[in-house]
Amino acid sequence: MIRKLPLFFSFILLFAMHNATAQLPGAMLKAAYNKFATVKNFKGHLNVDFDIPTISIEKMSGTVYYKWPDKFRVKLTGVAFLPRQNPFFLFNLLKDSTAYVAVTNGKETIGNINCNVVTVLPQQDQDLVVAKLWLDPGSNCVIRSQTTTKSSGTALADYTYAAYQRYALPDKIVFTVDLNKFKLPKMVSADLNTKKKASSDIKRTTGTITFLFSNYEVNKGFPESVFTEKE
Amino acid sequence: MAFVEIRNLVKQFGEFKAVNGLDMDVNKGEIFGLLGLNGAGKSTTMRCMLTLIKPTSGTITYSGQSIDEHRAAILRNIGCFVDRPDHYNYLSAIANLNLSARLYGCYPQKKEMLEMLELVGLKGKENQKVKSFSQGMKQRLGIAATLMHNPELVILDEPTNGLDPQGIIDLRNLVLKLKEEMGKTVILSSHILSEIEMIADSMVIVHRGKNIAQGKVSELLSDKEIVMTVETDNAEALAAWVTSAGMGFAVAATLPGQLTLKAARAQLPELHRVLSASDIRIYNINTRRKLEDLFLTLTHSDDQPVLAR
Amino acid sequence: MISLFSLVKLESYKYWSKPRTYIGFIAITVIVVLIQIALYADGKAYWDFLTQSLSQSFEIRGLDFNGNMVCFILLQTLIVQMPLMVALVSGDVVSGEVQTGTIRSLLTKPVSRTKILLSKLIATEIYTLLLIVWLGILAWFVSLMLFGRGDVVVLKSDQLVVIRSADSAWRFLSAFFVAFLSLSVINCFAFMLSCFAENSVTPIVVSMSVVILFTIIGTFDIPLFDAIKPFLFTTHTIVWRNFFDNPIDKHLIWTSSVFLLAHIILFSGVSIYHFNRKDFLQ
Repeated sequence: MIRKLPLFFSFILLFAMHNATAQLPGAMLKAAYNKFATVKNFKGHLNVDFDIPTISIEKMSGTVYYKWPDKFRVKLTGVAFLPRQNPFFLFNLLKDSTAYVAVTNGKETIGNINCNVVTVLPQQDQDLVVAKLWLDPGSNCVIRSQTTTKSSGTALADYTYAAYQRYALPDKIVFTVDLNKFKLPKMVSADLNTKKKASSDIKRTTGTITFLFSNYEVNKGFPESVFTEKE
Repeated sequence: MAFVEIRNLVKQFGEFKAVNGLDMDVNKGEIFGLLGLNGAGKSTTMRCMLTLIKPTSGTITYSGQSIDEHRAAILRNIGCFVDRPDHYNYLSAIANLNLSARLYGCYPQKKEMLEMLELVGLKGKENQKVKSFSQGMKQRLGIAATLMHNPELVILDEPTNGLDPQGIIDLRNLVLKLKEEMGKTVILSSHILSEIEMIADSMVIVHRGKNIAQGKVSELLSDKEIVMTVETDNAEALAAWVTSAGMGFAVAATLPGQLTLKAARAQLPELHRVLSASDIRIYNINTRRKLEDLFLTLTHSDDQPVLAR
Repeated sequence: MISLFSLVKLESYKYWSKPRTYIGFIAITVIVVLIQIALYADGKAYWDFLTQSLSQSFEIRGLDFNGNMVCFILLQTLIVQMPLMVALVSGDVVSGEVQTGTIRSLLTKPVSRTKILLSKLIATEIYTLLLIVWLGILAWFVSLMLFGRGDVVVLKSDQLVVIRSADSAWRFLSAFFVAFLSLSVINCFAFMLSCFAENSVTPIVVSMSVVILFTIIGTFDIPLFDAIKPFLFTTHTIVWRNFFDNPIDKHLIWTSSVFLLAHIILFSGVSIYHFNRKDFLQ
C-alpha cells in the first residue's frame, strides 16, 4: 500500500495540475473581460487609414461611439470601406463564462509581447463561430483577435494600447482584409490607357484598414439616438 | 492709264491653260463686257481679278495698284458676284445684306438697307428667308449686296443667268443706271452677244483663254463690214458668177450648198442685184455683222481665228 | 478694316442662326436627362449590383449615388458623343460654305483669308466651349441638385478610386478645362478637313472615323499598337480622366496637354496654309 502512495500522490498532482491548466484560459479571458467591463460607453475621435491595393481612398476622420453590450457605431462622412465586425463585440460573449469554451493554444510573440493564445468556442448557436485571441498576460489586453462569424466571415485585427490601456481601449486597431475573396466589378465605362500596377501591389493578397482612436470620452454618456440616426 | 489693267494673265491648271496670256483694259465709268463661250476663260479671269484664284503669271492692277499688294484697299471698292449671287439661305434678305456690308467695314442703317432692297425691286421682302426666294430675287439681292457699300467698280459674272425675260430687262436697266446715274464702272461677262451689245461700252471677246478682239462695242459690232451667207444648189458656180461681176465682193468660203461672201454695207444692194441676176437657184440669204459672224463661227470651229484689234 | 473680333461676331451669328448648331445641345440634354432619370430610378440597384462583391468583405458606407458620381458617369459621354457633336459643326464650317457658294462672297471681301479662317475657327471654339459648359451645367450642377453632394467613386479596370467631395470640385473644373482642350483638337481636326473638302458630309464622317479608329487602336494591348499609341491624339484626349485618380499623374496631364496644344496648332496651321493657297473654282 505504502509503495503505491507516490504513485497516488503523483496522480493527484497531475490531476490538480490538469485542473489548474484547464482553468487558465478561462481566467485569462475573464481578466480581459473584467478590464474592459469598466467601460459602459465611450465616444472618441477616429482616424481611418486605408491600405488596400485595389482601392485608392484617402484617410478620413470621424467619431466612434460604443455602448455596452454591443452597440458600436462609426460616424464618417463620405465613402468608407470598414471592417464588417464590431471590434468590441467579443467582450459581450466573454461576460458569461458558461457561454463559451476556452482552449489554450500556447504562446506566440507579437511585437515584443509574449501573448497567450486562446481559442473561444461558443456553446450556443450564434453568429460567432470561433474566435482566437492573443492576450497580453501583463496588461490583460487583447493584442490580436481572429474572429469567424457566419455573417461576416473571418476577420483579423491587431490592437495597440497606450494612454487608455487601463480601460482596454486601444489607440490603434489594424484590420487585415483578405483580397482574394473579392473582385472589382466590371467597369462602368472603357478604362483606356491604364498604367500598369506596381509589381508589389499585384502580388499583395491582403490589405489593411487602420483605426486610430484618440480623445476618448469614457463613461460620459451620449444620446441613444446616435446609433439610429442616419448619416 | 486704264482703271483696270490686265497684262499677260495666265492661269494654268495642270497642263490645261484656262487663261492664256489675256490682256484687257477697262476705263473708268464705262460698262465693259467679257464675251466668250462657256469655258473660254471669262469666269477664271474674273476670279483672278477678285483673288478667288491665284494667277500663274501676269498682272492685274486697279488704278495702277497691283491687286497682290493692295488687296484689301482695292476690294473695298469692288462689289461683285461670281457665277451666281451667294446668300445664306437660312438668313433673311436684310440679314444677308447687313452681313455683306459689315464685311466691307460698313454699318448701314436699316433705312439704307430697305432703300437698297427697294432699288433692286425687293421691297417688302426684307424679312423673308432667302431660301424662299426665286432665282431672280436672289440675283436682285446679289446686286443689292454688291452696291451696299457704294463701290466704284461692280463686277458681275453672267448676271442674267436664270432670269426670266422681264428680269433680264430689269437687270439691264439697273446696270445702265449704275453707270449713268451713279457713275460706277461695271464689268460683266456673258456668252450671249446681244446682252453685251445692248449695254456695254467696251468689250473683249475671250476664246481659249485669250482675247481675240477688244475695243468699243460700237466699232467692233459696226455694220460696216457684212458677212452674207447664201444657200444655193451650186455654191461654186454662184461664187464664180459673183466674182465675174467685178464689183470687188470677196468670197469668204464655198461649202456644199452654201456660199459666204463679205462686203461693205454700202455694197449690199448691188450684191443683191448680182445674185438675183444669176440663173442659179438661191434658197436663202442671211446677213450678219463681221464680229457677230466671228463669234458664231467659234461655236462650230476648233480653229482659233485671229483678228486685228 | 473689320476687326477679328467683329468677324468672330459675324461668324457666330451665322452659326447660331443655323438649326444644325443646336443639335449638339439637344442631343446632350437628352442623353444627360435620360441617364439622370434612369439613375434616379434605378441607380442604387445598379450600383449595388456593381459593388456586391465588395460588400462581402467590407461594410461599405456612403456608396450611394450622388451628384458628383452621376456627373462622372455622364462625363463618359465625352468619349464618343461629344466629338461627334463638335465635328458636326466644325466639319461644315468651311466646306459647307464652299458647297453653297457663299465662300466666294466671303473671299471677295477686303479681309485676308487668314483672318476669315481664324474668325471661323474661333467661332467654332466658342461653340465647343459652350457645349462643354452646357454639359457641365447639366451633368454637374443639375446632378448635384438631384442627387446631392458626395464622394466620387471611380471604377477602373484594376482599382477603385474614391475622391472626397471636398476634393472633387477643382478636379471637375480641371477636367472640364482639359476636356475642352481635347475637344478643341477634334474641332481643329474636323475644321482642317473642312478646308480640304467641298461638301459637309466628308469631313464629318472622316473625322469621326479617325476618332473611332484611333480609339479602337488605343484599347488593344498589342505591341504594335503600343508603339503608335503615344502619337495618336485620341490617346491624349482622355487625359481629363486622370484628374479622378489618386495620386494625380501631373506629368502625364502636362505632357498630354502640351501634345493636345501642339495638335491644335498643327491642324490650325495646316488649315490656314491650305486655305490661303487654295483656288476656289466652284
